[in-house]
Amino acid sequence: MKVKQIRGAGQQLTKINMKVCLLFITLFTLTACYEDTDVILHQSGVYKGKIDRHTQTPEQRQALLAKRFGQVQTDR
Amino acid sequence: MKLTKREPSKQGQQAGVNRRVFLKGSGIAAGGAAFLSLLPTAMIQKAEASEGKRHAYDDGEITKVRSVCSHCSVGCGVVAEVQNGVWIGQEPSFEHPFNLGSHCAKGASLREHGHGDKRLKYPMKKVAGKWQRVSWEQAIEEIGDKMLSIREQSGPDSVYWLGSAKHSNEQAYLFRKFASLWGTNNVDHQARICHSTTVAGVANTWGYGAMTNSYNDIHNAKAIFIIGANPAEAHPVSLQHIFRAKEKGAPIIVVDPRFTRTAAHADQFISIRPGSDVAFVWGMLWHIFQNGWEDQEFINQRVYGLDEIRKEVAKWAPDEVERVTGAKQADVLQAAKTMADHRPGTFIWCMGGTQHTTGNNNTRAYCIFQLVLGNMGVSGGGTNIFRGHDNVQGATDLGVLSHTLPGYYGLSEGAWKHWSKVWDLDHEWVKSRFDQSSYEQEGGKPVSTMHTKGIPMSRWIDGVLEDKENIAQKDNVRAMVLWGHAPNSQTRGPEMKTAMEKLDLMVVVDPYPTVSAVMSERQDGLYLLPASTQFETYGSLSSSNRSMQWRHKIIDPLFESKPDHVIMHKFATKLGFAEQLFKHIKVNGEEPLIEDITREFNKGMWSIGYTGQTPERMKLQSENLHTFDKTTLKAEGGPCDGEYYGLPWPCWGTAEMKHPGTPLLYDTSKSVAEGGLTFRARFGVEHDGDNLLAEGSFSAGSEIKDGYPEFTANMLKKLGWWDDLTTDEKVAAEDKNWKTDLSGGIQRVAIKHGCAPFGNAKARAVVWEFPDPVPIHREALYTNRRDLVEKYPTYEDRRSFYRLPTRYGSIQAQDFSKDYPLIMTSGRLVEYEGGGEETRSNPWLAELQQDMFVEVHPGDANDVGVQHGDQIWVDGPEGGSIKVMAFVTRRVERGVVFMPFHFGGHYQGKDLTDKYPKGTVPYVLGESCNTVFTYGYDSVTQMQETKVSLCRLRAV
Amino acid sequence: MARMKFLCDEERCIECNACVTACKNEHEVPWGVNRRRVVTMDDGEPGEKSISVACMHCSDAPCQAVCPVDCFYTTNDGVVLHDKDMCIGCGYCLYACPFGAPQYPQEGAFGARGKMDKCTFCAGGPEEDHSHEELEKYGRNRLAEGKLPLCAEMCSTKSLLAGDGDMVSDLFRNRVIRREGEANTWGWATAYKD
Repeated sequence: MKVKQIRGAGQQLTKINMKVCLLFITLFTLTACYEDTDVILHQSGVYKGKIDRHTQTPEQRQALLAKRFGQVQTDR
Repeated sequence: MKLTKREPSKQGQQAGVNRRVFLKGSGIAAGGAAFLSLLPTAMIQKAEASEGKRHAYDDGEITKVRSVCSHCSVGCGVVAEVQNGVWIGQEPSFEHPFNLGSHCAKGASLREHGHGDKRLKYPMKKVAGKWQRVSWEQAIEEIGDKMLSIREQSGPDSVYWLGSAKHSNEQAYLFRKFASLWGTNNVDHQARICHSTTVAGVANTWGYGAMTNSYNDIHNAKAIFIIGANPAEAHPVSLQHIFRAKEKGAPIIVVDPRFTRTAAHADQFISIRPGSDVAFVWGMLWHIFQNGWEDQEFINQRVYGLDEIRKEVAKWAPDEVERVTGAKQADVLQAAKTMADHRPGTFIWCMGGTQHTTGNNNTRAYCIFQLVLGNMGVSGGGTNIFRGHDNVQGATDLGVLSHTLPGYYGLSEGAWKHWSKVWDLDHEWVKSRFDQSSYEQEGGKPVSTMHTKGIPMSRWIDGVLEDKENIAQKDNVRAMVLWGHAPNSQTRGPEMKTAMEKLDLMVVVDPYPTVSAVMSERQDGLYLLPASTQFETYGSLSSSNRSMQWRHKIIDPLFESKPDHVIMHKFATKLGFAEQLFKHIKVNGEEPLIEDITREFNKGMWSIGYTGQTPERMKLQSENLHTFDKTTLKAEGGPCDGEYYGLPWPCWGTAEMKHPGTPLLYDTSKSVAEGGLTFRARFGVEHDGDNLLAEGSFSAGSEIKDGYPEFTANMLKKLGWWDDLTTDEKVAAEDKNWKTDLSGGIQRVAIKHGCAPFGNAKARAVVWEFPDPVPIHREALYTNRRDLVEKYPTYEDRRSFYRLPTRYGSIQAQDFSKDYPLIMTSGRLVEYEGGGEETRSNPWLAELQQDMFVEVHPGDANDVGVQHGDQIWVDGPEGGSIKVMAFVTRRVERGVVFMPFHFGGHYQGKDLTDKYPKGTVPYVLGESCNTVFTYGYDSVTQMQETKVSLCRLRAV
Repeated sequence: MARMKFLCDEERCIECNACVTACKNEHEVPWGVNRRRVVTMDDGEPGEKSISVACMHCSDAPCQAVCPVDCFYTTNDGVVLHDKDMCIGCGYCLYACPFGAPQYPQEGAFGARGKMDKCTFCAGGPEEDHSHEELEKYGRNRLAEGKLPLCAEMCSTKSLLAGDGDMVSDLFRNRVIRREGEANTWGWATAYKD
């Protein structure tokens, strides 16, 4: 039953309408075939947030973490 | 400058931050409320409950407390950070010799115990179907009165005391003593359904029923054989040790019905049909004997009865092994050859081997395999039996069991006299506490209830439901005390529900309401008493490798909960024997002093060397973790120099003797004083004319260069060593033996001469007292292989076994395999433990496993028309049905389904959320697989058969 | 300068989820948000492998590149963090991330997104070290305490390693040589350029 109704609807379309449809479809299809050869490289922006200040100097921090690594991450 | 956050700072005295603020800051909160509205009620409750303050760095001084994880038996060290009495941080205990700071999902989420949102917060009772809050005093008063009236009418055996592997050693010991002074052997705990068949099988082979080596010693294994165990999920940190060996070249062989997460890391995986372990092990031994790979010298010196094993093994030619187990012939040969070529190899098993009607046969077959290859008593070898709960080893050792007093002394008159003496109580008074009639006979003579095994916890429901005439005690069980127990870990759910409803009184003592609170339709006579976890008290525990560790208290008991020993004090006071129970234990207010309890069991536990581990020695070790070697577990230098970590039992003699503990059982390469040992002379000196003592094998430094029996006062005299005893020791030792001499003199002198106090014998491959002296294959009660039943039948039914009629043949005689064609087995998940009430109430864990499921092979799923993720019915042959999610996977073979056993709170398709007291519903509920698991009990220990049964799947 | 990296040794990962719950524990991460998770491939079949995955703190972090409000920064020890006060929850970083690390706690009944949340390498965020603000928004700051990420510190089999890339590499190389296997540094080719 449903199939028949759809066919009926199709018959109501005029030939002109069909052509307009085809034109649009062709245009849409062609649009997708275009490729811009200029690659836009996204550059990392400059951080705009709050500055993360550490209470330790990088050297202190590195020494502490290296010591810790030896304590917890070895295979012993 | 702040180098560590945990230093309290002067200026930072701001108020704590609550969780909502954290959510807001991280962009979660604005939506938090709306998000929650989409969630099931359980999760909304969670968010409300966890609105407690989040303590920040500078809110007060922070102290570090050492404890031990309370989940599995590995015994991982824990470091808790506590601020203002609140457990605010958990740090890795990287100095700890067992775990080096590591944890599994459960251990890494322990701090949630400090929140305890879903805990049972105060005593409750059910009145006309409604939960009602009551005071501790009222609860104890009412329960006590009811118990005393039951005692009056039906005798002390009608109250059942089901204890816990979650007790500390001190609480476990006190619990057994408590039950004894109440006057019953109806006391037991989860070891019954965990490793009871191991303890019985292994102890009867060579003396002690425990892990012989240690997790750490696996580093030295040249091969690792894992059968019926999935340590990657059940004991994850043990994999750290296993991988250490693997990466040094040791092959791993996994034998299991299921391709487990452990199997995924194995070099060889062999799938066998559930319940065919003996056939498989004999299949390997067949090749070993055939090729002469056995260690004949070891066998000659240290093994008794192997010829009978050879006869049985000869029946297991490769084709028969394949027919019974399903394992390919070439695979069995390869496994046997790997083990023969890589010695010493270690042998690991868990519940996959123990939970069978033939569990004791399985465990003995495993032991025999190791004996044949000469893998016992050596580093890298051994039977590394991974126990389940954190303190199941300790609770077993301390006798929370229906068949023995603490220390495996048994229930004989001698055993009772020994302990009465330790307790400083009149033996006659203790005797008077028991039912004076007798219901069983031994050698034609009546035996009193004091000397007969109590009902095992695997069968408590039969103690309630069985016809009174058929039970070997005065009356049925009428009151159940479920103290730290998950009923959903036990089989026969529907019958359990009936039993719960039939009881006069049901008391749950637990940090959580547990499934016991919701499973039955009881309207009255159900009490919930909030117990504290082990992080709210302190004391010792025994990990799987026999090491004893000290836990320090992290936080005060939460809500109105109380530690187990305090609750025992309350009950004993009400029931009228507190004076006797605490005769030599100081009681502060109502808290018995833990250290005094340790010292009391130190005084009596000579049989397994729980005598040298004083509170002081254990505490000293816990402060010096870093001094212990991470493989040998031996302290080098420092205050514990020469000791092994945890003073693994046997730690012989008195503490003054400074025995270092025994890291490897039966290792003759060391002297006994340094932790060496021989096989125990437990079974006499000869059997049927054959010598049972060791021949030409002895521990290093032994003055007796051959086998010898266990030490007694008389033996010391004969050897001319009597005068090595001091005058006081002589008085205490007269007519005593190494187990009953309370001075420890006999042990001291034996060790002084390089001898093991318990003698030097052969291990026995044949246990002549057992139903199957030689381990043989028998089909499970619910077997799918009817073609094998005739050749490998189960046992005959028994009339009275642990006081109860026990069925075997009458069940196997019926063919269920047509209606229930699939084999059903069960096991663990890494996120949950035991019945799961505690872990399913921890949101960090619960989030990871939100559905109870059944693993089904794609073929079987298609046969019943279900897809992955569908709900499906699993029907058991005894009438139970559960609705669970189908997990379609090739992890299981076609014809086998697997279910985890940690779920509860749904019952036969019904959600029991409404039956929980308000605010205590775990985050995740689900059907318990044990609602469909079936009858079946080991022929020696009454272990339940949860590793093989039958079922059918049905689309919803 | 130290360069912090994660490495998950797939030969050792047993999918025990300790890393996941350690993270939940340390930072009290709410239900539904997973800064770290364990992914299993070929589950239940021969060749089954598991890997613990979180933000890898990439060298040229793609999230940082695509962020329209530029709220990401890399600390001098190589940890990629972001300022939640600026984050608009647009979700670009999730599409850019090769490891699926960014999490968007649900906001509003119709699923509009909240601010992004992810693994901080236990290094807090752009607030004063140890401050309440840092704890509220980002969780604990272990690095400032001289400690390493708790997930790695608590890994059951020492499969998950965290720390200075050179130290991690040395440890892992020794392990690989001992077991005579391949050095499979999962995710490293994608994440680390240095």
